[in-house]
Amino acid sequence: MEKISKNPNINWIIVTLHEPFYTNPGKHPADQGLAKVYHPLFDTYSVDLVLAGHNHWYERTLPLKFNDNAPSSPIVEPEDETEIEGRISYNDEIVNFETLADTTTINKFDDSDNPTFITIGTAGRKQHDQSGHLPYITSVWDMDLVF
Amino acid sequence: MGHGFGFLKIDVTKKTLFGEFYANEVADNTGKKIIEPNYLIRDKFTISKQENK
Repeated sequence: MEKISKNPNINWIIVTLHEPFYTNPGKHPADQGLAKVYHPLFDTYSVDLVLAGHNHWYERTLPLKFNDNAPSSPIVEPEDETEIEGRISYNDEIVNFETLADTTTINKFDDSDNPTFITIGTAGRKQHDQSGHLPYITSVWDMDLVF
Repeated sequence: MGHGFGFLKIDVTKKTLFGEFYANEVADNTGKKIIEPNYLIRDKFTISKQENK
């Protein structure tokens, strides 16, 4: 990973996993053991995106920095460099794109050095129910729970 | 709970990564198969890097 991060010909680093490091409650819990080992390395080597599955839903975190003191509560970082536009409707004049849903989440992050974590377990199998919402997860889709 | 299908589309340029999550949803949420895909965009995000990085 260090070698890849220093390669000037590699612009983006995307890691794929099976079990997510951070995930809403409802079915499979987050793999905190792996998070403790790998998330600090992802921060060090500026991993951009981490894709996982396991839970049958979609969720995306804000860019997160590993929290040594509380591994299950990552730090949203860098807060002052993150522009969060929030949810807007497809009728909003900022975005006029007819295929946006009425609760589409839209975020724009400038110059984040920490990874965004996405669970993309939506290949068509029976979906899992989410029972809660972690504050650093900004976008969720499980058919019944959309925000 | 139904059998939803969605996919993540990722595009990149040298300095910007674009992500879009497309979801097909059952209109009445009965859990039956989706007959007419609607491909709604439920999530949209960009990650940008500084020019000097």
